[in-house]
Amino acid sequence: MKAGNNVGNIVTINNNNNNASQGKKESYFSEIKKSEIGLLKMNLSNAVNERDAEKIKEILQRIIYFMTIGMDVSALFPDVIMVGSSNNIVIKKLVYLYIVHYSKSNPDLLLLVINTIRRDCTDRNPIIRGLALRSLCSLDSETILEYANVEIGKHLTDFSGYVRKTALLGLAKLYHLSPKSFDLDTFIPSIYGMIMDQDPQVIVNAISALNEIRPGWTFTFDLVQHLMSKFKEFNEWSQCIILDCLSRYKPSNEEEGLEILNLLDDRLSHSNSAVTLSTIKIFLKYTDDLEEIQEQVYERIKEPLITLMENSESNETSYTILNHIYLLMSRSPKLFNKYYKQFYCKYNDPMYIKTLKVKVLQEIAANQTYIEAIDEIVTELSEYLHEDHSLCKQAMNAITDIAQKHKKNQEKYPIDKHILERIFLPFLKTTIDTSGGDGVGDHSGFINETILSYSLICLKDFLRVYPKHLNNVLPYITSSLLQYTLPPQANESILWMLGEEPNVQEDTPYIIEEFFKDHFDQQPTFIKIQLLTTSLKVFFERPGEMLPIIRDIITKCSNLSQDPDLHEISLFYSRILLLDVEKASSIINASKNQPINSFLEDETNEYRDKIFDEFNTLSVLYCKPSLIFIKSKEEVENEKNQIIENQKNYLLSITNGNNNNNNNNNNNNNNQQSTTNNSDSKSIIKQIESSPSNLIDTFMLEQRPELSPDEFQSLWLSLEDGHNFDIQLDRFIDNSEIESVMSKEGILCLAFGSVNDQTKLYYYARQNIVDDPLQEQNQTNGTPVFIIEIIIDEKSLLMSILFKSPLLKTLHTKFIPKFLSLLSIPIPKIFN
Amino acid sequence: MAASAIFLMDSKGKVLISRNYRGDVPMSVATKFVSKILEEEDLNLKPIIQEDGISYIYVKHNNLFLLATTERNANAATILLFLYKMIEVFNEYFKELEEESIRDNFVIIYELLDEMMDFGYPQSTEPKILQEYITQEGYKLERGAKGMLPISVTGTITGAVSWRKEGIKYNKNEVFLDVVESINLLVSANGTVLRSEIVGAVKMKSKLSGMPELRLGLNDKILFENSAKTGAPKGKGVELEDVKFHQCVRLSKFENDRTISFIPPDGEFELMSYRLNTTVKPLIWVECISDTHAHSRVEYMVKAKSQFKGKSIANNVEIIVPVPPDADTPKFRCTVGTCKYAPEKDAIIWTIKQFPGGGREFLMRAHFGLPSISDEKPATKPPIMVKFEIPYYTVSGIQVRYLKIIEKSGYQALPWVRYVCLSGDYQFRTS
Repeated sequence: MKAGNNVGNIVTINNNNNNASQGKKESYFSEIKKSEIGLLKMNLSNAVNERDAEKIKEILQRIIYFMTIGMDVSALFPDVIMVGSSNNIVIKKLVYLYIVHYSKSNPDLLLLVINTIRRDCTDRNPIIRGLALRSLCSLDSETILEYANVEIGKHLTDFSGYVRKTALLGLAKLYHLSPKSFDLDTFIPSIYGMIMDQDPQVIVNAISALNEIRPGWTFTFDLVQHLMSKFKEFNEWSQCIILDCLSRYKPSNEEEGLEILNLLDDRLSHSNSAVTLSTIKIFLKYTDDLEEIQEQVYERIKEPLITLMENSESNETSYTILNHIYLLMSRSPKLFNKYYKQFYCKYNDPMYIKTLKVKVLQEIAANQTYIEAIDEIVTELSEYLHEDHSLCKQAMNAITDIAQKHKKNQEKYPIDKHILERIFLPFLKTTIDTSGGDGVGDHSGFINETILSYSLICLKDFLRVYPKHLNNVLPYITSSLLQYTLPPQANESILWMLGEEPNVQEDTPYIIEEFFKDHFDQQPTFIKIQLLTTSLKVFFERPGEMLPIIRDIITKCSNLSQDPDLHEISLFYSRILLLDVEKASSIINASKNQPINSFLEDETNEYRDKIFDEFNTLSVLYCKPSLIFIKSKEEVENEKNQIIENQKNYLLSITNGNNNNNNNNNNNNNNQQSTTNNSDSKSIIKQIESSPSNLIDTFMLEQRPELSPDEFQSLWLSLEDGHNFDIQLDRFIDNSEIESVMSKEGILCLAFGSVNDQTKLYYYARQNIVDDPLQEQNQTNGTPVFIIEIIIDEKSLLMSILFKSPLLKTLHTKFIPKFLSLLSIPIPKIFN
Repeated sequence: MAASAIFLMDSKGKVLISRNYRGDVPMSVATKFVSKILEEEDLNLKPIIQEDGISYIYVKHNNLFLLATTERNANAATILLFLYKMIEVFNEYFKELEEESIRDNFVIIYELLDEMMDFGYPQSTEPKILQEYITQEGYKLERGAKGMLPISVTGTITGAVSWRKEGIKYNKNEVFLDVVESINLLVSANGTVLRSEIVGAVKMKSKLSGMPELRLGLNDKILFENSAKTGAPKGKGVELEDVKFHQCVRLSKFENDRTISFIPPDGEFELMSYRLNTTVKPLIWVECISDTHAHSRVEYMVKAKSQFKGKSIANNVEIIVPVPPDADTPKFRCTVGTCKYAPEKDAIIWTIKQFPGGGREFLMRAHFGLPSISDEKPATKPPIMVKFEIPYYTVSGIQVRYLKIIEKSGYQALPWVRYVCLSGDYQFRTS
């Protein structure tokens, strides 16, 4: 159905900005000036004094807008939270949005908000209670844990379902914030209890919460019964979640499983593809050991799947479904045999769908016994040859593959002949036709080089399986092919074919000669090797004609300036030729005329079973099990620890010299070279820098990096905190002291100043990537910039340093050590 | 499930609005996504990509990217559907979801994002119900805050009939039913029908008060067979394949006795959809003969023939014939309708306002000049596309037998039924 065929008119709320925001609309889009924050601050406090809710709302909207576009308005935190006590729900929502966004950077001030939140948690309006709870748990700070635990505990029994469902997900958030301080004993039983709630959304959120807190928990039989009886009340998203849990449930016996399936049968007719896929997953899981029933299940699910793929208005969904269809075919290869026409590509399908459809068609044809169907599919695939490059290639491969798969039936059905005559030969014929007429009377215009090259490439694979057809193909392999610009693989294929049957094409030696003289030098090595091998094969059959040129070829190939591979092979060939021509012939021709029956790539993918277990997840779309692409929690932790460990060891090795070297583990064996008795860290650094295989030797900073204050600001806002350090100083250190050391190494000062007894210094540096080609290949995505904020409390003399960079690994392993070692010049205390 | 974050981005990948639900994926990944999208060739782009353990699931809508990220092995279909649902909801709110409307309504979008998903789990997504408590002005709720409204509102968010709120009131109770069938057809260059199918949908617009119970009777074949056994009057039935229903339909009842009974959502929705794979005679048949004289001219002769019943008329028929991109100086002659050269589509559009049925044939001739020098790039062969709509007609022969409306207040309601047959993906390949 076309989306445009909507009948009637949809009731829509008009987009009428209220007067207040309309007036200010202009300024939303204007550039933000530095003074804007001050102005906002002033306006906000004025509005609060005037108790003008409209005005407050308007100012808050502006603040949120700035926040949205990535500008830092966190300075307004104290002012915004003051407004939070307003009774206006829109103001509340805006304030909470702001607070949640900046909670991380202002953990101390959060305590000021807590009271407002707690008051809102007791508001009469359930929506406000829900809002307050949701925001409370979203504050990304451990300071709130204590309060949140209390409030959540209270509201798990709220009389409004809206609040209860919010509280449940709040629990999940708290658990993620700090699994250690989560009170499992109290909360887990209450969550279980709430699965029996009246409200469907509460039930589902209880299940989701358990999924988060106790991953891998499973339903009990009673629970399944309870949920199934209420199943129709859940919305589609909830059904998906329940179905997903149900697929983990193991029915105690066959009957029970079948009973559940019966209850779920109607879900297969659901128009929501997510529900249908989830249901299919259960069907497949429950019948895993019951072969006969599983067959029936396959029969049952194929229609719904096809309808979903066809009817879906979104290509993305069709893509998901198609991927699942493709996966199912690995289990039941003949399942969609009847439906092949559904997989014909439409002209306006996006490429990712076409690609998949070709794959499905190929699979269907390969497992098809119905000859007409194979024929139709091959014809259909040949239509795609005129399309885009990649599709042409894929279709050609598919056709070749189909031919190979049906080798066993070639007596009954000579598909190889069909394909050869209908697909491959016509393209080759045109090359002769056009060259014969010298390209003048070309009513067909031109040769489609794309198709020509792909058919040549595939011909090689085709002929390896059906060598008997070489005789039919070779007459068309003439020197006229050489006038086209073909990809190397196509040239390789031409040469290979010539070598297999040198006598069929009369011109064989001359084609080789022409190729050698005109094209040899610009070819990649594998073509040169192929040429060498082919010329030898031809030489054995037609020595007279080849003799004049074979010597040139071997001489040229064995020239030292050639690729070592080629050089070695040609030496090898010339030596065996000298020893015994007969023997050489039998060695070089060893693989000739031995048809290949199956290609290694076709063997079943070992992952497919694993992927099957993860039906209806991303694994199916990536065609690999989740183990491969999902990082487990431990891995992430390990990586983090590794980095920290490295850094510690590194610092140790600097400070303690050789004394502690035996403590170093393998992670930093590089550092072990830094053995010296000199405890002066500065000189050790120099030594380390001069040793070639060291950690920081390849790490260079640009001497004069450039970074505008605006860039700095946007970077600072967009990056996560990289690392921070606290150092207790003995005396106050002036910026000039630090700057003098840093600037020598390319770490420049952007700004510094003192506010409220705090001195803030901002530095930046940029890595000189050119000098470091190997190390950073994987990380070229981010700009190698390091930005540093140093805050020195003038009273307590506590110096805290915060590093940020898009390249966290480099930051940790390279930059921070360097920075600290530099800092140790004015502050030698760092390493004590 | 569990999406980590949702982003709305403009066509250049600038984040317009983002909402971080779980905090397990850094928000800076948006830039990574953009660079990935931009560096990859359009042809190789897939709707779901993955890098560094983070999966990016996105859809494009009006030059906007809607992106969801997750670091888990999530359920792709659900997330995609959620993104589409978001578009639907936003469209309800702002008429059209586009860059401008996002900028104008970012506060509401934040509110909606907050209600529609929590901690990565979809919550309430019914536009009608969301509109109850998130409004453009935000006034509505304030007034009700001290009264009873909020309780009823929260009741509907999580109530048993999640798609319909209570207390709907219309002065005139009406239901509109549209039976829309679209025909997908693929004909090969030599004139054989490769594929034809009917995709049907029953769309409904309900303007009914209260909580009405509806029962819809169709001339469904299975139903008729059943009733034939019990001696009910016979009739022509239609065998519906693979029927899919809106969530409001009680599917178990349909499975048992093939009755379609439901409490409809308010307003417009698609009640059911079905697919029929029976080969139907193509309603409009097009043949095209082209004669190319390289470097000088190309001529087309297109013949269109109606193959549906004489009583019906196809409206707004458009036959779109592709021509080479470098064609010039178009000349047309046609027996009926108007012809237009659409260079932006590289096609001739032949429009026939009314195309009578019953085997009528029309002809069109076109002549184009070709440049004497052409680029030697192999041309792709786009198909001829046909668009049409035939009112009061269904290919499958499906009919609404009755639509019963029962509401406890006992009001009378008028059902209106319309049938229309549309061209779906209707293509003739060219040689």
